[in-house]
Formats: sequence, structure tokens, C-alpha cells
Amino acid sequence: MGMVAAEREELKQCRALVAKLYDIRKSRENPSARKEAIICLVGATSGALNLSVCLL
Amino acid sequence: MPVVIDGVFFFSLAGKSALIKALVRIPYDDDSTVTVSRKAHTTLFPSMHKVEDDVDSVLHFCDLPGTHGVMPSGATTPQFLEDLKSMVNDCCAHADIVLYCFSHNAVLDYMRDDIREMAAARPPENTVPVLTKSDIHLRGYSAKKNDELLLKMQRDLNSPVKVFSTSVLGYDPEDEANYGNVRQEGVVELREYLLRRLNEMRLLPPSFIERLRSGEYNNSIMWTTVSLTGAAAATALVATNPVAASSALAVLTNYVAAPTAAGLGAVLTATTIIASTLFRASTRR
Repeated sequence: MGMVAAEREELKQCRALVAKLYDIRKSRENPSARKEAIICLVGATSGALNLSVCLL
Repeated sequence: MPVVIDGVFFFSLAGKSALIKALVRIPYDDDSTVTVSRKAHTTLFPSMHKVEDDVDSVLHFCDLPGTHGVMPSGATTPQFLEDLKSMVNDCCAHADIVLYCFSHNAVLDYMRDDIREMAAARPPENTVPVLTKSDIHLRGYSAKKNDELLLKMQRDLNSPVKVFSTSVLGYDPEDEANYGNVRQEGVVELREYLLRRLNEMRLLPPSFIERLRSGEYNNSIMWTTVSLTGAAAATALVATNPVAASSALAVLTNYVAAPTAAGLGAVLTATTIIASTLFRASTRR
């Protein structure tokens, strides 16, 4: 089963973020670049657990 | 005849968005930058926010999806979580500090593995485990028992950094009983730790760090949310990281009418709020 659009979009945005963070880190090689620091918050678990409960 | 009940069975959200708001003193009802939602990362996307001062110093906060447990709502492929985890780890690899947020009263194997992976990418004291929603997990026990539990979590995580416990209530509009009645525990201590680490790393000017500590923001410090797009990914990745770009072939395929580098700025949308608003937040606590 292929990915749905939402999945593709979420992954794309993660890739965009990786690229942006890479740029920020890379800019530190330039002493005259602005001062930047990065804090990432990552969750241990993904969202809500959706269950389909079948009652016979 | 079978009856199918499809619904949310329980929540395992870590409350990262509310924690960001509390750490930088965004008003609970200001949804123009960080939105607090119980379904945030089941349906939404990674987000990036920044605090910026008048001498062009910037503190970025990246709010990343959780990657373990169950498929986010709407996801269909098991590979999705693997891909997501890989990219979240790539994001964390660029971070100066990672807050590993969990909302369990026990440490599971994958959490220990996560901490180990994240700590390998930076000084060990810059991977910070945070037990969120401590009002749920620590209530009913004495302070001594809670300290023992947090110490055990730290040992189980094999973390050189203590487990910070935070509770941030009043930010979730879906939580009608508490919305607007802002209560925080552990936020000041965590903020102090982060600012101390940032100060020791000398990434930001001391004057900026001091303002973040005191909450005495002025009109020259801005809070901004940047929304990311797939187009930005394609453009920026090719421009900056050819190796990663090769793995992002799918992105390029989807954006074959690819934007130019100049288009990158156009697809980054920003909402800016002067930080005098932020300062007011500290008075609402």
C-alpha cells in the first residue's frame, strides 16, 4: 500500500527542516554570521492510539 | 453483526507545544505561533519557531513528531514511521540541545535506545530527558518518592542528565476545565538548565541569554514561526547537501517544476509577533 498524501507531506516537511537546520549549522563556519542556537523537542511516542474495536 | 467503534483509545502525547510556550512565555491563548492541540503531531507537521533579538541572535525551537508506538492518524504504511524516525534523528543531529519528551511512568527499551543515539551526536549533557505531564504521573506520591522515581528513570535511561519533570496546564483549548488557568511546574528549572547550557556553549550573546532568563523581552525581540514546505526541502537540500539530496529523490520528483533558490524565501511564510506580547505572558502565570 502506498503512502497517502499526508504521509508524503509530513516527510517532506521533515526533510525541509533537516535542510534548514543544516544551513544554520553550516553558517557557523562564517565568523561574521549571526549567532544561532537550536533546541529540538522530540516526543517518545507518536500521537494518539487509534483502535478499531470489533464487538461481535 | 459486528459493531465497529473507531476512536481514540488513549493519549500518549508529550505536550511539547505547550512546553515550548511555557519556556518562552508565550500567552496561553496566542495560537498564531505555537498551536497546542491534543492531536498536534498525529495530524500536523514538524514546526520551527525562533526567538530573535535586535542584534540578529536567534534561538530556534524545533517541534518534532514522535516516532514510536503507533501509526499517526491517517498513516497507512509501516515504513512511514521508519522514514519519519530517520528524519527526526537527522533533525536532532543538527540540534545543539535535544529535549527528549516522554509521558510514561516507566522507561521502555526504545526510549533508552533513543537517548543513546541522541547523546552520541552531541555533548552528553545536551540530551535532556523530560517527563512531561508530571501532574498525571507523579501525583499521589510524596516528594521523596517522586525524586526516587525520577532517579530510577535517569538510571534506566542511562542518561548523564537528570530527568526533568514538567507540568504545563491551561494551554490546551480542548481541555475546557483547565484552559486559561495556567499552571506550570518544573518549567523554570528546565529553562535555567537550558540557558546555562547555551551560555556555556557560547552560541548566543550573554545579553540575549539574560533576557531569555529574565523574561524582560522588549520590542526588539521577535517570536516567529516558520512553516516549511516540500518545495523548500527540495531546494534547500539540493543546495546544501548533495548526499541527502540523493535520498530525497522522491521530493524532487514531486516538485519537478522545481522552485529556484530564490523561491525558497517565498515559500517560507512567517508570522511575527513582537515580544512585548511575550512579556505579558509572564504576568499571566
